[in-house]
Formats: sequence, structure tokens, C-alpha cells
Amino acid sequence: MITTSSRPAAKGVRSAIALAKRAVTRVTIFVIDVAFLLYLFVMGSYVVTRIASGVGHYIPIPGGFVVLLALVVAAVWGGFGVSVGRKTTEFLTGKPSRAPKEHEGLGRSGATASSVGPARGPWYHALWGWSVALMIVVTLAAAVLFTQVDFSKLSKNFPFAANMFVRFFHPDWTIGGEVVSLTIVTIFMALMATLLAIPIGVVLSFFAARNLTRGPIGSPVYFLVRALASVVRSIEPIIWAIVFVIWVRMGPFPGALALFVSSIADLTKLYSEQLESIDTGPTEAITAVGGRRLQVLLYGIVPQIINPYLSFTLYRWDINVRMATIIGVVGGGGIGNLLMQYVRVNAWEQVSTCLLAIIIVVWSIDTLSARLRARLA
Amino acid sequence: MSRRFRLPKDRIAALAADWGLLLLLSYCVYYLTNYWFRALHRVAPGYRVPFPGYAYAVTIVSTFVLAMLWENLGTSIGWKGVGLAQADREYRSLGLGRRTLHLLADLASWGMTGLATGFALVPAAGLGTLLYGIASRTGVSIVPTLTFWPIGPWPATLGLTLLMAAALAAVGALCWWVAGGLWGWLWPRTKGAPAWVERVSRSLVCRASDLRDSRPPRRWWQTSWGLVTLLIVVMTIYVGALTSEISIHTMIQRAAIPGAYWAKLLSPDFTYFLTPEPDLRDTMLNAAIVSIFMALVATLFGFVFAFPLSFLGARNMVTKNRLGWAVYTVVRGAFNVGRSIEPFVMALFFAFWIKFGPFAGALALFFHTVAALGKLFSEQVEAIDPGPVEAIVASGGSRLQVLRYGVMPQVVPPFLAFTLYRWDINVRMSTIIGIVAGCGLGRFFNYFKNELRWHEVGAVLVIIAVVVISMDYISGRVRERIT
Repeated sequence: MITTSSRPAAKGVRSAIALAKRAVTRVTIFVIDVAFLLYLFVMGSYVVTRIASGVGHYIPIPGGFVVLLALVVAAVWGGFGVSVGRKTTEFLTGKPSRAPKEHEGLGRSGATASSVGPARGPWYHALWGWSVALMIVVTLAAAVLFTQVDFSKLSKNFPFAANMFVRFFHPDWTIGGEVVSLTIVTIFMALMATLLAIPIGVVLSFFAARNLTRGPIGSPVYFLVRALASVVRSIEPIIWAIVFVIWVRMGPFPGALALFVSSIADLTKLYSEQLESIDTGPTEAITAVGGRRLQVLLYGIVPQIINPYLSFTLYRWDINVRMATIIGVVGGGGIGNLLMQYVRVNAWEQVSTCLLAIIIVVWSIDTLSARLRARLA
Repeated sequence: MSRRFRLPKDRIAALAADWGLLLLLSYCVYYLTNYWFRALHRVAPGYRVPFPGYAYAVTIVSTFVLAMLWENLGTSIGWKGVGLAQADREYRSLGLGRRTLHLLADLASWGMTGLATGFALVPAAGLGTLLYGIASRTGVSIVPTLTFWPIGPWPATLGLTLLMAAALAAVGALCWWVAGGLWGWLWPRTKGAPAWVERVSRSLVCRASDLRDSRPPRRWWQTSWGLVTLLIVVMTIYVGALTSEISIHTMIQRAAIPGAYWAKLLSPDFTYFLTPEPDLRDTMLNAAIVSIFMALVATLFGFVFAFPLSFLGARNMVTKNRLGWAVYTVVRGAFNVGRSIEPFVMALFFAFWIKFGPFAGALALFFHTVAALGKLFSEQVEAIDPGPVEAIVASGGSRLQVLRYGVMPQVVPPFLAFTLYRWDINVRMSTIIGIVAGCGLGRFFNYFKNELRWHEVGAVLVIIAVVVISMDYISGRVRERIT
């Protein structure tokens, strides 16, 4: 690099790259500004119209005007002032969005946000500060309106619910046997899902690690596996359970399948992140003394990842037990199924027994897994 | 607790592991016996081989004895896992004779430990009985009314209760004293085994790494712990597959049935993204916004409540005196219980209490968030560096100043990171909590699912994925920056 930097052609390429990078930053800032302004307008008008008239309107004036306005304001703001988009990119990248250049005075396009003016003032001296404050206020107001927060409901319906609480304190011990056997089923569901997900997760993690997937075949595979994993992960096991209930009918099997699918995705992500952070020293050493690929894997990579892998697996088992207790609510078998049956008929004494079992199981498995993980770390 | 109570933690952990694994093994054996019996004799599917009440006691005791035998005569999984070994005074492995001696002494010592524990629990049991008795008089007890408790006109009951309390206090104090003495004699200073056990069997329990053996180490398949581990793994997987009714056969057999439905799911119908659905009178976009805001409200308020509570749940902040210990125990206990109940289950109750709607879902998420964040926060507070705190105390800082300048700067960045992490989970949860709370995307999902409108269900799933992935991305970027 040192030798090439003196050549004028290379210099030209480098300045072109710098220019492109600056252009990307500019566009990012502009997009964030437009999104911010649109959000502020839409939510602000929803809140105002909802409070004023009782019915919320997102866009009370023609939408084209709003978009046009947002574009113009964002362009002006980003060009002349310190906009929210600029502050955001600076916060996220940790460096000024416009690199300071020599031979350029203040007020020109090369100045950074921090070099404009004598010193950076507190947030309430800047327009971006007030805009962000306004956005927070609007968001809070919208959140309260959307969530229909109404604490009077709690007290208004309390006589109705008081009966439930009293019955909660009288658990029905006669269904104990059934509860225990279903709890065992629940634990086994979680165990099977985790155990079966391990080998698949391990294999997939090698295709989802950036440092191991290079080249024209590796990169597409990496993106495919990563994208699939994040889509599957984003959908909760409860929903997967509903999907599987239709396939293999109700019972513990669809529950275990749902946990299995989401465990694969989750373990793949966790495992591959661990693979990405391995120390390259040992692998290079083994390659240097003429080790084959399998030897690099066995003696260079495996010793580094075995403990984190075990620890992630335990963590996932813990989550799976948690999930298995509720997956029965949608027909996935286990203790959740029984719980839902009793909730449907408002049999709170029996519900209380089921809940006790769930609390004990989740708490003890949680403690056990935390202890074991502490030992592995 | 008295100073004489010294817990041999490693030994107890190893014993619990061995005993637990043997119990698991015996459960598997019983399950498989039932399974094969039913298969062989073609009896009704619900039939079980009789297992009377005393069989439970026999199983529990015999697995305990078996665990003791295994630990003393061989190398058990627990001892291997914790890293303990038996040795003579020159740190060499023991022969069978001395191992047997050690076993006998060990059985006696654990028996007496159990006895001491029993004595030590008498005061607690007495206090519990007293509280239950009083509670059962007021009608809020969670146990059936105690039949032996005096029931009658209040003055007489009160007098008798006080009398019983005095008796319980006397007996409890005596038992506590006996337990302390016994325990102190059993486990005076050693960690591995009681001193007199070591004297009797002329051996000691040491770290496995301290062993100086001339014999080469055995491979795992030549040892009892290796073989039993294999047995347990195989049995557990087999029984697990049977209990969770795993059957590839069903999957293949019914593969054609969901075929059409997969196809429908994969061709989502976004008609109701912007136009209101006639029955639900709402758009999917609106539902998505409601879900996100539910998560926001829960996370925000959860943070606000968990922040002060976490200091009460941190051992190094409050446990200066008895009151502090009580506060710590109560707060941590509440965190643990709250964390164990999924928001999905809590939503069932709030939906019953305040009727269906986003508020019920948000409240359920909020309570779970307070508990989960509270635990993470208080662990963080416990892990702070005491240096700055001591420096401020040494230079005469007040309690508030210690908190503000010694503790806060250390805990705020991780607190924010945890909150963002919780925000991710809450977004995920809020999309499904609507299934039971009747709000947001979950409501749409449930409705379309019940109507078997799979195209629309596909659309809801796509929206859930988009919402969750984008929120994940944003919080991931912010978290990267602040940590």
C-alpha cells in the first residue's frame, strides 16, 4: 500500500472511493432525516387528531404534500444545519460524518458538526435536540394512546378478579399426579428439541460464520443461512407450534418440533458468532506445520469453541423449558395444555397448581443451567 | 446462621448430581417397563404397572444408597464432574479395603448430617406451623385447615396459640443447639470429608488433579462413570422420544395434508395491510404499530421500576443487617418468581381481569420485564468494582454521593444494554401475546388461523418477521455503540 500510494492513478482511485463513501454517508443522513420527519408528522398528527376529535388520522392532509415537505425539509436541514440524521450516524459510527479537511474554512461543507461554531453546546441549544425531544414526547403520547393505558380498569374490574385471586391461594392438590407427569413430558420435550438441534446447529454454524465462508460459493451460502436463521428466529416457537399442529396433530410432538426449529436457528446464530470470534493463532500454527484441513478443525478450532458451544446449548435448553411450559397453550402438549384447559373454564384452583409446577420447574432449571454455565465459563 | 454450619459444597453438589441421575435412570426404567409391558400384553394404552406408595420411598432410599456405593467404591459422575477423588495420605489411589471402610464411615456421616439438618429444620417447621395455624384461623391459608389447631372463641384460641408458640420456641431452640453441635463435630474444617471419617479409614478426599498415581489413566469406556453416562444419555433420548411422541412416520404420512396449506402460507395476501378487515375493524399496519408500542410501554416502564428495585436486590448494597437480608430475599424471590411465569401466561390473567385489549398485554409484558430486568440489573450491581465506592467513602462522601458517583457510572451502560436486549425480547413477545390478550398482530393471527384463511396468516407472519428483524437490527446497532 505504501508503494502504491505515491502513484497518481492509485491516488485518483482512493479519492474516488473516499468520495463514494462520503456520498453514501450523505444519502444515509438524508434517508434517516426523511424517515424521522415523516414519523414525526404521522405520529404527531395521529396524537393531535386522536386527542382533539377522538379518532386518530395519520395523514390528515394529502400524502403527496407531506412527502414533498419531508424531502425538502430534510434536504435543507441536512445541507445547512446539524440534522438528526447526522447526529444519528455520528452516534452509530462513533466518528464525525464529514472528515475535516485542510484548506477549508468554517461553514464550508468540509466542517464537522463539532467544529461548526465555537463549541458544541448542550442539546437544548440545537434544533436536533428539540426535535428529538419532540419525537420522544410524541412517541410516549402515541404509545399511551395505542396501548389504551387505563389504570381505572384495574380497580373497576377488581371485584370481578378478586374471586380469582382468592381461589389462587387454594391450589387443588388432587390433580398433582397429572401435573407431575405432564411436567415431565414438558421437560423431555425441551430436552429432545435441544439435543436434536445441536448437530444441525453445529453443522450450519460453519456455513454461517463470515471468516469461514469466502469466495463465490461461500458468500451466497453465508447470506442464505444467516437470512433463513434470522427469519426463523424472529417468529416465536408458539407460532411454529401452530404451524406444526396442523401438520402432525395436537400433542407433545408438534411442540417439540416447534422448539426444535427455533432452537436450530438460534443455536446457528450463537454458534456462528462464536466461530467468528476465534483466535486465528492456533489455526495458522497448525497450517504452518503442514496440518490438513481436518486437523486444523480438530486441533485449532474445536478446543476454542467447545465450552462456549456447551454453554450456549445449556442456555437454549433453559429457554426451551420456559417455552415448552407455554407451548401447550396452542395445542403443543405438556403442562401448558392442561393449564389452558383449566383457564378456559376459569378453574383457578387447578390453574394455581399448574402455575406452581411451572414456577418450580423453570426456576430450578434456570438455576441449574446458570450454575453449569458459570463453571464452563 | 451459626458459624459452625459449614457446607461441604462440592460433596453436596456431587451427591445431588449422582442421586439425581440415578433417579432419572430409575424413572426411565419404570417408563420403559410400562411401555414394553403394554406392547407385549396388548393392554389398554393408559395401563400402568402398579407402583404403590412405598415403592417411591424404596426408590428414593435405594438410589441414595447406590449413589453412596458408587461414589466410594468407584468414580461416580458427580465426583468426576466436580473433580474429587479419594486418596491415602500420600495422595495415591485407595484399594478396595480402605474404600469399603470409607464407605461405611461416609454412610454414617451422611446419615448424621441428615439428622443434624432435620434438627436444624425444626425451628423453621415450628414457625411455619404457627403461621399456618394463625392463617387458617383467618381463612387465607393455602393449605387445608389444620385439624389439631385450637378452633374456638378467640380468647381461648389466642391463649392456646401463645402457649404453643412458647413450646415451639423452646423445642426449636433446643433442636437448633443440638444441630449446631452435631454439624460442628461432623464438618469441622475440612471440605472433602469429616475429620473422623478420614481418621477411621486413613484416607482423605482431595482434588482429582492432586492425585499422584503410577497407573495410567483409563479411557472413558473403561470407567463406570463413562459407561453410566452413555447409558443415561441413550435411555434419556429413548424415553424422551417416546414421551414427546416423536414419530417421523406421522410426519411423512401427513405430509400431503399441510402441502396446500404451506403453499397458501407462502403466498401471503396483504389486502388488509391498509384497508380495515371488516370483522376486526382494523388494519394489519395498525396492529403492528400497537404491538410495537406495547413493547415500548412495557420496556420503558419496566426499566423505570426495575432500576430502583435492582439496588434492593443487590447483595452488596443492602445486606448490611438483618432487615437488609430480608429485603434482599424478598426482592430477589419476587424477581425469580416473576421471571418464571411467561408473559404469555400472565396475559391470560390480565385478559380475565381487565378484559381483552392492548393494555392487558402491555401489563403482562411489564411485570415480566420488571422481574427479568431487575435480576439482570441487580447481578450487575453486585459485580461492580468496589474501588471507586471505597474511594468516595474514604473522602467523606455521603451515601447519595457514593451512589451517584461511585455506583452509577459503572452500572448505567450495562443497564442500557440489558434494556435494549429486553426490548428485542418484548417486541418478539408482543407479537404473540395478542393471541391470548386479543390485541395487535397476535389477534389478527389468531383470527385468521381460526377462520383457516392461510393467505392472510402468511401476511401476518411476514409482518411479524419484518417488525422483529428491523427492531433487532436497530437495537443491535445502538447496543454495539453503547457497550
